[in-house]
Amino acid sequence: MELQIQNLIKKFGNNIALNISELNIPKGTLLGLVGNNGAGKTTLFRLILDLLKADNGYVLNNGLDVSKSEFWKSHTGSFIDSRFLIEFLTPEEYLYFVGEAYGLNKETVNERLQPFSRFMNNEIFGHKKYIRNFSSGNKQKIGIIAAMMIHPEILILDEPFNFLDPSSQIEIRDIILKMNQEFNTTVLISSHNLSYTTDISSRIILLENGIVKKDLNNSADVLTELNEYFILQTNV
Amino acid sequence: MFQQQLRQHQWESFSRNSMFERNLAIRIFIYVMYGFLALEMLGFGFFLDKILLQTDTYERAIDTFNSFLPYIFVFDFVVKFIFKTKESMQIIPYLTLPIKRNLLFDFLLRKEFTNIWNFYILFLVIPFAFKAVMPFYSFPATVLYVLLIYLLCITNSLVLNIINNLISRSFWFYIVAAIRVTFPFFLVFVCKIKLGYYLTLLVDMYLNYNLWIYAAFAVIFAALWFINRLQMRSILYYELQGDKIDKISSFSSLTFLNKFGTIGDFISLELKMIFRSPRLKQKTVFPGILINGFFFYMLYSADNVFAVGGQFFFFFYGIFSIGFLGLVMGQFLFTSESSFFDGLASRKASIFELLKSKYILYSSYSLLITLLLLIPAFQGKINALLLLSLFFYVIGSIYFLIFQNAVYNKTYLDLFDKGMFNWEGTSGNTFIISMFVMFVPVVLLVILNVIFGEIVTCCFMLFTGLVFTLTSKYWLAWTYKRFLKRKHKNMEGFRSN
Repeated sequence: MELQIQNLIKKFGNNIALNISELNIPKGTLLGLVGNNGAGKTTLFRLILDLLKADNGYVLNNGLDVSKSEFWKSHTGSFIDSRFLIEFLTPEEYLYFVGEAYGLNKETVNERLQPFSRFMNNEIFGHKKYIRNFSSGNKQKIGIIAAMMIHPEILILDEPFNFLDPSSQIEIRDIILKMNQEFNTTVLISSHNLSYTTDISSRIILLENGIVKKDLNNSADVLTELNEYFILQTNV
Repeated sequence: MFQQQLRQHQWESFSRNSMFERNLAIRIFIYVMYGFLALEMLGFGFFLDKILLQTDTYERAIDTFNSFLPYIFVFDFVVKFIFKTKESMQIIPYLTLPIKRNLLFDFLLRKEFTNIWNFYILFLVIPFAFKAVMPFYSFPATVLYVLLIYLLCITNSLVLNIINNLISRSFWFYIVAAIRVTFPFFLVFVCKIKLGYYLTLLVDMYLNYNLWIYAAFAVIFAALWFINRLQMRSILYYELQGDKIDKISSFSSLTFLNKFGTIGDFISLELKMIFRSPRLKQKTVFPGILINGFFFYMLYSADNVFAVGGQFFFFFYGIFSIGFLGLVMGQFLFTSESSFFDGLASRKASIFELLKSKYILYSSYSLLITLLLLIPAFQGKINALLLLSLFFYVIGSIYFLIFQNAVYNKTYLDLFDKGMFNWEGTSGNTFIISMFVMFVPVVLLVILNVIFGEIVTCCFMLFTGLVFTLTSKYWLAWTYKRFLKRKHKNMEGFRSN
């Protein structure tokens, strides 16, 4: 079992932002998390990464309670938002620093960046710019690359398609899928893009008001089912 | 290894600060200013022993200085409270990396040892210690004395961190900050405890190598360090979720502003912005209360500082007190709206109305403070003519100058980013205009006062102030027209987040 969630409750003030009684994500799953704004997707990711303190329950990452141990970090890559980038570094400096934190030397980092060359589209490296001066799209790319280049066993990406141009969206979709297949990486992505999510996910969880409404294995009619659900929500 | 990397990042975050990115001249100017201040403190420290001996409080200058330590550290606390950046959020990028959190917390705490706010006072203390401690003790004791002051500065910062962390939980913990500031005064003036005297004894024991003093200090320091470390973990979770649980302040009830149409709407927007933006609130609310509170305290204190400090001090403080809101917010003219300026510019309401509303709000604040100051004026604490002149000088001449920031400001300001000593949103132009506004009009007044006396200075302030106040409609329009010429360039800067 790769990720195990038990009786996880998170409240913000009096609002229950997340309430998941049980959720198991086996190794190699490519899990797509969908839901409207405020459904609890980012909250779930933050709890998995021990960035929030749960009011109840726990998250086990490879059997380790994430709030009690920090060893899980060595095999977990993630990107939540641009606040997690070190904005006064250049992209090169940042990626080498992240690589070093995971025990990768510069040569290995350079090697592992090769598959991302088309995704970077000559917009990231060699511009002598600090990360803070990049556009939101390029910051998103730097964060995603930093999370993926360490070849984590568990990869968590919050809204990876946000801010990206269509070509980059397609590119990153394929890279995520390839990583999942090649390294058997457990991938958790959240997205509002139902089409891309259903394209690559082997399992889809629909969150609504912090509760798991649907837990679906991907099949041909999943996209239709999700579309119908959200249309119904709009009518309600 | 990570310690070294983190230290390097600490240096890079400073040396690559966006303020330094654009203008070499500004960088040099700031270094010269810092150098000048350091030299000034060194010089003052060199003659401090002689000044203290003249006070006739104690026979030795070192004892007099030690008896002032509670007040020096109140000042140190207040300065740090206003200017020192809160560090905890700076470790967010490292949280998901395989670096132990305790290592990050310790790194943040160790940064206190190299933080400029913890050793600026040493520029004063080092020359003083060698002149006032060495003759009575020994060289090692002199070094220990400097070390003591340095460690007390860090201790003060550790206390500040604890209070700041509590404040981020609840607004009510400002009371703890107020208690920290007023406690020494309470002990001395209300409880009639000879705090200064006891401190001279304690420091004397310290300089005579009394081990109990060292042990007690080590225990207090370790306890504060431990509390800080404990607090950091919980506060980090809290800050990361902070935006989800922030309660909005009840400012939507300012319905009377609706009567004033667009201007009223913009004033309401500005007030909401000030009270809901952590950055602006931190820069305005508490410092505003403190500065005006201190102004009144000084006016009513037995030995009126203004009488001792001379007119420069009074002009400077008077202008800053009456014009506080305009001087602080004026620095951020339109950069405070940078995150939504495109939205404002593309709507029906004119930016000129926004400019006017800001002038009305800042002037109303100045009027309120002036009305409050009428009480001490009627009691003979301040000259009423001087007060009236200061009011018009502020809302006329001073605001005319500070409003020029509207033309030149072109940086992005993150309203939800905290940190008082945070250069983001402050460009070289802002810095120059603000420095000019802060010092040039005051220096002019002092020169006039020395040459022609107070009446002429008051008349000058009143005349120029009235001219600029009565023509405010026209110079605001002129400022707005000049802004329009640079509009696209400025707006490009606003989007540079």
